[in-house]
Amino acid sequence: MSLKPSKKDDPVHPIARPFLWLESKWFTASLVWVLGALAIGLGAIDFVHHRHDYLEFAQMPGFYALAGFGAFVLAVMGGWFVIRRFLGREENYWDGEAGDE
Amino acid sequence: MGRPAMSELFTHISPAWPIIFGGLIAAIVPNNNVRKVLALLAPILAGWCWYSLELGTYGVVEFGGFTLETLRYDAISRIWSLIFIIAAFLNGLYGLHEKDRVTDAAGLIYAGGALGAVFAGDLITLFMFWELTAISSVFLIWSARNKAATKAGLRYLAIHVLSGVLLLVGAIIHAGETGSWAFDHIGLDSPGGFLIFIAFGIKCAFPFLHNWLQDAYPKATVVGTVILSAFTTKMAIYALLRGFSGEESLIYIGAIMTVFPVFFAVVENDLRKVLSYSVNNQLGFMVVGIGIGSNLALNGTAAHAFADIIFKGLLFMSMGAVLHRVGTTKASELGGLFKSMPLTAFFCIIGAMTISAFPLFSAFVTKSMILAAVAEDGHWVVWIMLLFASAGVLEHSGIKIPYFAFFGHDSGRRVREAPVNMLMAMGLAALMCVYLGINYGKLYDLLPFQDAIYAPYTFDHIVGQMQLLLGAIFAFALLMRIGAYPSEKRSVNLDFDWVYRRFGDSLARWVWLMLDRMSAAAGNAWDRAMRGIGGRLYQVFSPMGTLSRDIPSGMLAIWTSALLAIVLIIAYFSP
Repeated sequence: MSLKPSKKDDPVHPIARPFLWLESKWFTASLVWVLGALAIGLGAIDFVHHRHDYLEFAQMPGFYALAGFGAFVLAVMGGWFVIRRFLGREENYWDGEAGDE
Repeated sequence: MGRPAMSELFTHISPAWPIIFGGLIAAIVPNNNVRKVLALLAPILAGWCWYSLELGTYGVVEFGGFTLETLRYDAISRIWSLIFIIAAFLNGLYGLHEKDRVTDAAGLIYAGGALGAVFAGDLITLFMFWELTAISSVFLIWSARNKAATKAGLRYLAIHVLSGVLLLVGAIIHAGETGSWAFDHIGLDSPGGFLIFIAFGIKCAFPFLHNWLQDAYPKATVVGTVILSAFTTKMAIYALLRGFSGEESLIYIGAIMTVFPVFFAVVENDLRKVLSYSVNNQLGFMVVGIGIGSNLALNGTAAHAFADIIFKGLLFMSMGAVLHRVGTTKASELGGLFKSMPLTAFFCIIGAMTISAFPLFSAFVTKSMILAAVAEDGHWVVWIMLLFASAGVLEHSGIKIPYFAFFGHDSGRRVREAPVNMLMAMGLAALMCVYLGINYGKLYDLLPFQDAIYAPYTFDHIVGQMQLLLGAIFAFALLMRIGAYPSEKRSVNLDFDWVYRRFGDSLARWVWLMLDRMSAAAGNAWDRAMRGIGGRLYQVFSPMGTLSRDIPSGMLAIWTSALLAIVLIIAYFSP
């Protein structure tokens, strides 16, 4: 007797089934390296192809890759260390707004 | 070659009217099926009217000594009216499953009101439709029928009616100064212009005037939020473009609008509120474009508004579907929903990639026009702010929304996929996001200034944009890997609305209390004083008083004596 649940009892949508590997450990573990390699690779294109831009400083090799990385980290840290630390409050701070919609 | 006969029936009829009348009929029709037919048919009729129009001014009405232009159809109103009609249709389709007469009626009247405002050729007509959108849209918030929505709706209504009042007063002053009620370039040279600027700024969600948006939108109904996201702010962008293009202060106002919501959205738990901050962020790009005022910048603003209505609507639709099925859009309660709502997840990812401006998606060909115009104008600090905001929007709308709702930590919730009509609306919106990103010439053909067309698909632009996006996505993966990404938790973050919701409310209560106490204290003091003076006078002048023992009683005698004494003193000291 198979322990595999029948399709009828399976709560996973049939369309989602082929994509369950998105949750696998190997995928999540390797994703950061793949993305890092892609970002560096795209930045490296600028060393072999001079990219023209409206502003001179934006023509620096890898400028946009560094800007994207830096801006993202700045946004997250700013949100975390400034907004949440100083402006974060309990969910029921505003009367009657704590519950789900 | 003549126009099709059917088309002639609709020539010179404002596309606003079929939608407004559809809404008025929906308000009185109890049958849900009839209302749903109206929700789809009215935008289709409006589309037919739009298709039948030729550039020009129609619908001129003399009323109360004013000349009202209700249908100014030119290169600017053409693109705005088309996207409003498309949005009205998508919203009607998205809301087919919902049996709520108030939402059906309000949604149509609101969309028609926004269309009417876009076609307004004078400030009186603009004011009337401006107020119609305010009054009709609040019912989309109140339809949620809970305490928080009721209070938020009241705040929303107060702020938007204020915007209308400022517009009217500003228009009167402006007309007094210029002798014209025409809704053309207004500028900030006069007090009237300044008031109109603030009126537009309220609906545009300028910094410090923005919190009505994050307050009200997440509290509206599932369908209501989607409808709200399309019209008010984009109508205001249109009005700003008409009245204040090239106004330099807008460059800096817009730049701030792009940046500050990023920080709030990062740590916001309610994903519909995250999208509301995202609305602010995208509006900022458009406001900057209006401030730059070049033909390329204004084209970019128009194109980005067009694209934004679709992709932002799509993102709100996907979160609405989650709310409809799961009952919450709190990121801390979600995760792993792609297993049960894979199509919704797919459409959400399309919306997320579009707002992030990936190549082949619409925002790639629209937002870059604004950035190019800013760079061409030499505003490099503003350009850097917009670049930061571009990475920021990837963070909160490109990654956070789909990741925390559909992937991330599996919440274990297993629900049904969204209703078919919701999927159809999302599918159409997603299709348009991709279509406009690839066949962008169709969008560019609608732009107001055909002498300033942009070439988005250059090797340099694609590489630069992909660098930015991949650099940011890598940062996300790295921060998650090392545990430096803030966890989602049930909380709220104070914003500027604290000033009027908590501080202002407390101040008003305190002032009221103080006035009450002062009034009581003043009353008591007056009573005491009167009692004291009166008592003393009584003791002195009453029939039983001191003076009555020696002096004839009666006030007349007293005063006569006093006056006599004064006269004698003056006479004595006179030269």
